[in-house]
Amino acid sequence: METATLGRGRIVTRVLTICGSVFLWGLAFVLLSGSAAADNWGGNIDHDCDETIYAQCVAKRADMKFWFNSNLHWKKKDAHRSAATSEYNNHGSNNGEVQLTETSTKNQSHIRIRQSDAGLNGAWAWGYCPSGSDSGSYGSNKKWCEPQNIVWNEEYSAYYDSDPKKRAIACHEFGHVYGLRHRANYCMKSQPTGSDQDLGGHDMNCITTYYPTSTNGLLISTEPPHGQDCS
Amino acid sequence: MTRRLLLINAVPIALIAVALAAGTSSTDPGAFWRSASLTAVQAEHYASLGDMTRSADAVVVGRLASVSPGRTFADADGFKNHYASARILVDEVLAGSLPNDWVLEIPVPNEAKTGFIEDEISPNRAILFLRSKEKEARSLGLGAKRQAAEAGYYRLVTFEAVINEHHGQAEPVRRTEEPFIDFGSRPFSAVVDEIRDSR
Repeated sequence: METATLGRGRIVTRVLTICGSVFLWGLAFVLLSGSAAADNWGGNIDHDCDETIYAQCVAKRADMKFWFNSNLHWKKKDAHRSAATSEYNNHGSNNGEVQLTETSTKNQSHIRIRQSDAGLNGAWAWGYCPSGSDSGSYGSNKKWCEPQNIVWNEEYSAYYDSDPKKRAIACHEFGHVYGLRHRANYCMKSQPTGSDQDLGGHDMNCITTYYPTSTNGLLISTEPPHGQDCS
Repeated sequence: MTRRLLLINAVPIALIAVALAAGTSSTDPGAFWRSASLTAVQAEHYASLGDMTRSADAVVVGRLASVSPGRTFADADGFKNHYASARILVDEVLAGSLPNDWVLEIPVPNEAKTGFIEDEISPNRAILFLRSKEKEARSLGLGAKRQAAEAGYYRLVTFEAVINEHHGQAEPVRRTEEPFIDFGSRPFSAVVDEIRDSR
């Protein structure tokens, strides 16, 4: 009887030991997985557009139609028309199948451009994915949304009063719609001047990488080639 | 039995200790600030930390306390620009001055995202370079009524104008814009001293 009790006690102890061990291993696994995820979180934030809050994303397609809100000043409209024609549509194979054309029908547009008394937020113009945009992803860290909005902030209009500056801003914001990030040179500078009206070669290469002719201008389904930093 | 128990569980216990240590350190304190920015052509641009310090209306060391839906600016046609209001617990004012009651405004173009931002608050200390919207309204020549309406509202001088403390090191939220491209690795306290010296 005493032996049986001792045996039962040993079994209980062993079961508890095994359970405790399994629990500890499990806890260690969960914690380590969690910290790995935390380590990566935010690393691709600049390319997200849905899960993260305001970050710009890439476009769904290279061939897009832009639409002007009726309140947009004609000089800003001209700046966008000029940037579309000179920087995005006429680079042949350098720009893949990029084609920006104007439409007067809002519902058919992929890019909607307006000006706004948007408050003193420190920004002359910006692009974003508005509520209700269609969105999706490809690869592990690239996301698209459609349509995208471009807003010119009238609060700061005194700062971009010249036509060349407007043209540089139009080039810049179209670049963001395609997924280009800020660069040190050309129109993707964080604060382009009137002499920064053009896309750089690096920017064109990134657009070609994102929207190659082989996919009919739709987003590629794989990541850009290794070493191609389009951020 | 106790020895065997210890031997069996030593490895997972060690792993848990490592995971807990890593967990407290691996949270990205810059995620919130990167989210709270626009991909924009910005009104301000600085080549150096000293320039940014001297231009700012205030430079503080503080922590994000809370974020909530803030003001909305609406156009005549109904288009709306939303802002979130961030409350900062200030440890120290390094340069300039602040009123007792002030709010840091963050633009939120997509209204539906306003609620998510609170989930990303980092408890880390940070250096914030601030612009008074009241003073900005004055310098832009906006009327007295508008200037008064902006009293107590601040923004970051640029969307990159935040330096987080991360393991005692100074960590800019982005290293893609000046003056942070060649920022390198520096203790947070050294950057605080540099800012104090450059006032």
